[in-house]
Amino acid sequence: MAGVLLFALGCEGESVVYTAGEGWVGVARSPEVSPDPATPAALDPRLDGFESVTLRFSVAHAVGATCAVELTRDDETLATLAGEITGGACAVGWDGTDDAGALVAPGVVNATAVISRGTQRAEATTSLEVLRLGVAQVQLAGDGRVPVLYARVDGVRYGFHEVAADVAPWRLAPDARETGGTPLEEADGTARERPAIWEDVGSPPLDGAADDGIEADTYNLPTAWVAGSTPTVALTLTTAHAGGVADPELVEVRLAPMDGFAPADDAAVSDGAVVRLDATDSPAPAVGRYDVTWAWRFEARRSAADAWTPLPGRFETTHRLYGLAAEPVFDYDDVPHRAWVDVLDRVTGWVDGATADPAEVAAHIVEGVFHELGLQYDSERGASHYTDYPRGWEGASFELSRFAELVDGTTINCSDAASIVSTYANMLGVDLRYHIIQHQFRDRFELNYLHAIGREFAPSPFVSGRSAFRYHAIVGPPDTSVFDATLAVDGDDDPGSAPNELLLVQGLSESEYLTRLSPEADDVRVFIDEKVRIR
Amino acid sequence: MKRLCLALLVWLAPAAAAAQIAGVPVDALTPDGLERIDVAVPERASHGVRLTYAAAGQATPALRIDVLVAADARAAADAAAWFEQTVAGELPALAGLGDDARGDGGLVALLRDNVFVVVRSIDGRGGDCRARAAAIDATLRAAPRGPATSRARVSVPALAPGLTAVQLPDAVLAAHVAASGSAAARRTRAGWAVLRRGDGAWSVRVLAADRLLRRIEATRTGD
Repeated sequence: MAGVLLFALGCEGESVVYTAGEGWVGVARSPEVSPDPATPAALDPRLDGFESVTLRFSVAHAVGATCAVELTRDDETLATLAGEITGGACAVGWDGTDDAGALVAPGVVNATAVISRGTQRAEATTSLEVLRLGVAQVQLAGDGRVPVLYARVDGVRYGFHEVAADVAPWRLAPDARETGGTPLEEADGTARERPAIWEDVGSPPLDGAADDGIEADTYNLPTAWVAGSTPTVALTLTTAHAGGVADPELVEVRLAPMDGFAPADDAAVSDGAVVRLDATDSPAPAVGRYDVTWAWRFEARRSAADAWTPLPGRFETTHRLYGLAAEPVFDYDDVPHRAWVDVLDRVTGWVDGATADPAEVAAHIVEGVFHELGLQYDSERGASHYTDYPRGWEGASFELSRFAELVDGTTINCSDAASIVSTYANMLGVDLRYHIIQHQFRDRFELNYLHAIGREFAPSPFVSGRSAFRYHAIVGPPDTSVFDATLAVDGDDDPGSAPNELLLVQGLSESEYLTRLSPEADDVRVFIDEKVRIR
Repeated sequence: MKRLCLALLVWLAPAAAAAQIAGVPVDALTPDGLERIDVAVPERASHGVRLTYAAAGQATPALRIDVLVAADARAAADAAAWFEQTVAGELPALAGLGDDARGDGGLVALLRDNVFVVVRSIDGRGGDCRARAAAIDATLRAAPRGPATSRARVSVPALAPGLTAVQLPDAVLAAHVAASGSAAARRTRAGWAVLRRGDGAWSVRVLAADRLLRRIEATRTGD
């Protein structure tokens, strides 16, 4: 090392006396220092995962020198940071605080590197900008998004609250009664907590001071999508902090490219700017409940001639998307004929991303209703408890609001099961309608062994031993296949006697179903092809 | 002769009205040991007002009583006959109750005059429905006689943008509001309201029941 140094001394002018630790004397050039363009031009210490930003200065002729970086604003020293010289650079990590440990407010900060060696001193100054960066609103838009409905508000049955498909599902903002706050910070500068996914599937978040009692400032609501949809994400950016708006002055900031998204425009970051990105992959590829976390990152540059450098940290937003087989299909267009959030949550949990095929989704619904809801057949008499027919089998109405709370209990009959299965399916975009089965000539038809919901295989679904239905309600798509959650049939070669093999009715052909249901299959008729009206 | 016939008709009309039940006092229906926790008015006039009861001091529904005060005995009998058709199994006849009664310990359908009642024990928590129905039948026998027409009136307010409250007179026991088009109905803790979003035609129906469980309806449309 000494030899190299002496060689350098012999080749260069402007030498000064240099005293090394080994006790020899020589001459060396004065240290030199200059800002490293790789130093980030900006930072936001409040971003998720931010620990520090590395302020880097290139140095030369600095053997034995020390380095420190002084951070100032308007001639006021904010912090003095001791650095190390390694690899030809003076590098200092800065966590965004001043010497008192307080976060430095947004604005331009001058960073001056001081390289000292004895009486020698070299300085270089660069500037960087402290920012507040974040997202005030996330809009998810696209043809595949469908409105959803909360069935209750504040626990009130029929308190229907629709979240239209054009409502931004994620929002961060001061409460309407709050003064001095911004989306990112409360009035005292405390970081505002971001909304977690709203988990109550029965009611939207509430705000007693809002006109309609529903939270309208900060919320994170689920959305529903036709499976495979690729939404356009519109981010409303914010740079406001408790002290005011801090749009970038020194630097240009943009949203960094993100895997899975293609920028639809290239808006610079400023308070209120909207940046649109098109998802390249569907976040809801099948029927399921998908929770995603998107990490929005930023990058900055001082001028157009500079390269973009990433800002340390990210701004994370979380979202819940329900994937549906298709748009909901109802015979009515008034509220509450929408996709209910509690139903979507339940059914997408059953399907769990396994498929988006309508018939397979319907099969999952039958299985879920049959096994998961704790329902049992009214084995005393087979009366309906949630479904009404006006004066004929047309126009069935289903009290879904009461069923959601099991107000009328867990005992159901075939009409109820048909209403539940078809309504759930309709909300998921699966076209199931209810049908009625009756004997063509008599007031009842005989039954084979059946496994009624919540019961066991028996030659009669009734405690009385009556092995006949006056009528039976089933559901099916337009192709005439049959789905039925009221009962499972005997799937073996002899459905009229034990032993029995449980066969859920998940798309059986009509003829097979009727044969397994009744020994009088040839004498029954299947009629009515409607969707229920719900309330 | 013609004058005589007219006179006979004049005599018969009030007699027919007097023979039928004018309404069923809702508070008189509350079974011993239970308290009413909910009243729901069905969308269709052919279905009874739904009264839900729980054990005193509890919230879990135990018993439901659907009461249809029909315009006349024929309409009530039609409702009873259709109800039986919607039961997949059978409802055994019960002697000594009403004009006709069918059911068992878990559910009883009871017809008396122009009133059709269905009593159902919810998951077995409501006690023996035959005993409940007997008490209800006693209430029906003691119910006021006369035309089953409510004097109460409900109205649908003109809709403003946003939420419009639906005011109901004191005579109304419960209501259900249905809306379509650019309007959507919503029940709140303060009562029913209609939300109007944007322009476009709208229709609002108020379906109500008075304290004698007679139905009252009002409809309004706009654009």
